[in-house]
Amino acid sequence: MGEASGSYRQNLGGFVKVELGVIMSLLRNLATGLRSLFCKEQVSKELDEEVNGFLEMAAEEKMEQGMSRQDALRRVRWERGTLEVTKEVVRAGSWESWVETCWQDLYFGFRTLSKSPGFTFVAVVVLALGIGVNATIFNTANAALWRTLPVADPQSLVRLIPVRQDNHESEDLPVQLAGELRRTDTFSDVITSTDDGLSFSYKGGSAERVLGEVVSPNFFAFLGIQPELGEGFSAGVRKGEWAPEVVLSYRFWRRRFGGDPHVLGRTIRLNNYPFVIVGVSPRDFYSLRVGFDPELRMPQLPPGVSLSQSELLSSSYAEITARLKPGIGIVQAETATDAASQQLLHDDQYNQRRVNPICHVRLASGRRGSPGELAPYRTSLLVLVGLAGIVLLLTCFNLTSMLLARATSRRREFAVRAAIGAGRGRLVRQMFMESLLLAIAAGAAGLAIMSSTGNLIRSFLPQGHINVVLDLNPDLRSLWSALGATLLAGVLIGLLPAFEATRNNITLGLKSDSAASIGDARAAAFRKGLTIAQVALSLLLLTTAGLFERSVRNLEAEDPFPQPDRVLLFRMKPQRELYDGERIRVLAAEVVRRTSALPGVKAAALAEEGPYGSRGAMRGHMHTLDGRTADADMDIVSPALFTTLGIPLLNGRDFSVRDNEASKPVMIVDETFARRLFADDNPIGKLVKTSVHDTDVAFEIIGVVRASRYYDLHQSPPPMVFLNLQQVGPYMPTLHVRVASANPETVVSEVRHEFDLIDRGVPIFDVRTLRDRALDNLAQQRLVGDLTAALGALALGLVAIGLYGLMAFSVARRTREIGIRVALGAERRQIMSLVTGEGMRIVLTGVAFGLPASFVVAHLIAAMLYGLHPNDPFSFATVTFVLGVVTLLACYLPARRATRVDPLVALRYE
Amino acid sequence: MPDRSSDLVQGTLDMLILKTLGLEPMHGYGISIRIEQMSQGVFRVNAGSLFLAIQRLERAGLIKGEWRDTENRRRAKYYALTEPGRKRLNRETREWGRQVAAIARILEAS
Repeated sequence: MGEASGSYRQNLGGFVKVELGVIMSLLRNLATGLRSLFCKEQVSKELDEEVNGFLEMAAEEKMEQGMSRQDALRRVRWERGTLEVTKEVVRAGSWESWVETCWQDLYFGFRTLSKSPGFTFVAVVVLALGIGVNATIFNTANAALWRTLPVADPQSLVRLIPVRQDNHESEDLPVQLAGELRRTDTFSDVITSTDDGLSFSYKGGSAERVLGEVVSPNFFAFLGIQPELGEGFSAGVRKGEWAPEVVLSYRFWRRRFGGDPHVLGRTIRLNNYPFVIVGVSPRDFYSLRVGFDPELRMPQLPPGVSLSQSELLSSSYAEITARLKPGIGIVQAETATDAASQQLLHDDQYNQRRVNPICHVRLASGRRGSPGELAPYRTSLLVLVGLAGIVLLLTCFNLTSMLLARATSRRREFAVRAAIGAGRGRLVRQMFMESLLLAIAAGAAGLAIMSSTGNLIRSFLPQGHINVVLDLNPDLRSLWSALGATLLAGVLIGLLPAFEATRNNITLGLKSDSAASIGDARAAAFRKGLTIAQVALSLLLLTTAGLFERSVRNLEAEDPFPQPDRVLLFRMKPQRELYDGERIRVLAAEVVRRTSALPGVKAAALAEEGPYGSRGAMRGHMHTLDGRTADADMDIVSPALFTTLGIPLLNGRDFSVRDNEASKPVMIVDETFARRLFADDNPIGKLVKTSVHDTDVAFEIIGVVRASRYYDLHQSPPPMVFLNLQQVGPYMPTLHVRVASANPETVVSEVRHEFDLIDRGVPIFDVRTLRDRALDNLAQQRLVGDLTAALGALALGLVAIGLYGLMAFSVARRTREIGIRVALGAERRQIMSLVTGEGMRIVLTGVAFGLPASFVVAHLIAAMLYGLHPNDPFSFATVTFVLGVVTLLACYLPARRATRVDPLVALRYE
Repeated sequence: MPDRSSDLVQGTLDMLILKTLGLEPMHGYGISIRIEQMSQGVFRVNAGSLFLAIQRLERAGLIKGEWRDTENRRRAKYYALTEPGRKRLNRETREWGRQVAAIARILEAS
């Protein structure tokens, strides 16, 4: 006991003394118990000797009074108890014997289960599906929403969130603010990070587009992460002497360099400028933004210095993350930050010129990083977690029902065991161990399911401009939740059968006429109830799935472009640092000209964003000369885009090669925009002003196209305008190519070849069809819709199994009754309807409970539905019909068996 | 099997064992004989209850066992009161006296 415990004792006075005594005696108890567990022989021998001695001494005394030894021993045994009973009593009084019998029960359960491998297999598979589905979905939601960053002391991290004048939150703040904040005594340190696409090349190979993050030099030290290779940026860079260094991400290092351990010191080129590899970031670190994993990181240039090859390196705006000093609260820090940022935001030219300047800075916990690309999926994921929970409940019901049936048929076994002295508690515990064993096996299988289906979500997430990557290696939270689900399942499925199997007295169980026993009827009633609950829950899942699927269908039907699988998209990134305004226009025109001339190509055009927006939607504020205004979506396109996509031109003309930098600025609008601003007037020739690169320009309207859901399939078409790519320079345009045949593979390689002929330094990436991008636009709906449909199918299967099992059992139980009915002249059809009628009553009851619940859930998810009312009669009718057909089938097989009952055999049965 | 110790108030057996051992260290049979003698045959303890109680007391650290030879040259485990055991005995004796007096007052009140 050192000083610490001394002062502790002083503080708490006598209390601690008592506590210590209790702890000491607990420890002694534990030690003695462990000794008797592990030195069983020795301890048993000692007890033997002691008790024997006791009995001998008692006998000797009797013998002194003149009894024969035999009589004396008999008398002592009668008066004081026998050796064996005494030992049993003493042993049962200790905790270690409890452990020991538990172990026996576990072993016994294992043997019982291995004796019926068929049942065990089905039970484990059913439960594993329930646990696996839960673990998978929870792990995904956890990775997307709740996971803590794998950095040192994540609790002290805060994110700085700029708030715009209209109260909207954005991300980037002036980089200088980081310096200001380092000088306050609120934060122990501050980092900045900002990212963009870069053209990467290595040893003279073709350019590849990667995402690079430019970070402040203290980035790795700030986060306290141990890199896989190297030490982060060099000491010089950390001191402020910039050098062209990069730290690769773990995954980029594995993919592009094959995990080569000698990669440090090699030179790569980014936008043609040489950088030296100084490190590889740790495997579990992705970035401070959920779903984002930039291929490499470079140090930010010091203020006032720039590199012509990359504007990103001297970017004046970035995301800021800070670390609170110990003892400083987030509210206090926010006040300090806001005060430090006011002057800076006011003086910042760029900020003040903005339509909607930043005027405040809000602080949020940075423990999980910023929600990033996964933020829109929050609701979808939560709904899925909930639905997966329902599936788990359903599998538990299903299994409870199976175990009840098993318990009923084992009642005689339990009665025999009770008759030879097993207490009810022991029997219940034994049953319980069995269900726990089942749950543990299923939990292990469930984890296997989780790790094999882990990347399921990836196929739903849009993979375009940024590859959305989630760290799906289960963390502690995921593992605990899987373990929790397993134990919960073990308890849920074990309770009812354990008590049911052991509740009846011995005589009832031993009676030969078990068919009449009351216990059976009770168990059957329980199973009926459980099946009804299963029907209700599966109806709930199925209707949800139906509503979601129909929403997706409705949205897909809105696709405004004919044959979208015949439109190929090639994203290109001519680095602005390498291609100035004039060169990029020439490049654009050349790309379109060459591609259009390829065989098999019907039309080709460029668009800055293109349908569904490669990065998002561009928006602008439009006003006419006489003061009418409208906000409109906009895109910057080349001639022939409308032909390529299949958007009809209603009035006027398309852009042409004659519209160029020298001629007057022109604009094409859609009919919604035309109606909004000009009502019934002819819009052709009208002037509309909007700001381009921070200057107001007047555009003349030369054409009107059909309104379409250009950027978003979820919204009815908003006003839309198109500007000319030759007049408003492109940045990262997408080449759209409409091909004649449905086999676009050859065209893809031909187009790539043309690009190589023009310039090998222009990276081409994200090659896909317009249909793929439309699907990306529906990612959230598809994620929920498809996964819910899978859950619904699983639920339907479980209900079918459950109902089949119940009806088969019921037919077996009623064999004699059916035999009598047949003997009295009942026809096949009557027997058939007797059984199916029983099954269908269960289904109808389940539906009666399930439908109202489904309506409630449908209204809860109403915001996630498109083009249909939550009470959509079609969805509800279809789903109920499908459920009816499947359950009828599940009843049909047992019913057919019932009709084959031979009255002679049945009446002799048992 | 007559087990008159079950007539004992719950927990009193522990107290009686402590009391017996308070006089001198003793083996199991000695304890049971002493209890029988002192109660003038009212309490007879069977082996199961006795050794269960001894196990409990030993694990709680109130008594301590040691193998020794008896006067009849037989090996037996002798139990002695530990310091915490002596304190517990004193406390329980006081408490018991208080309770008995109180119960007696209640019973004699009518």
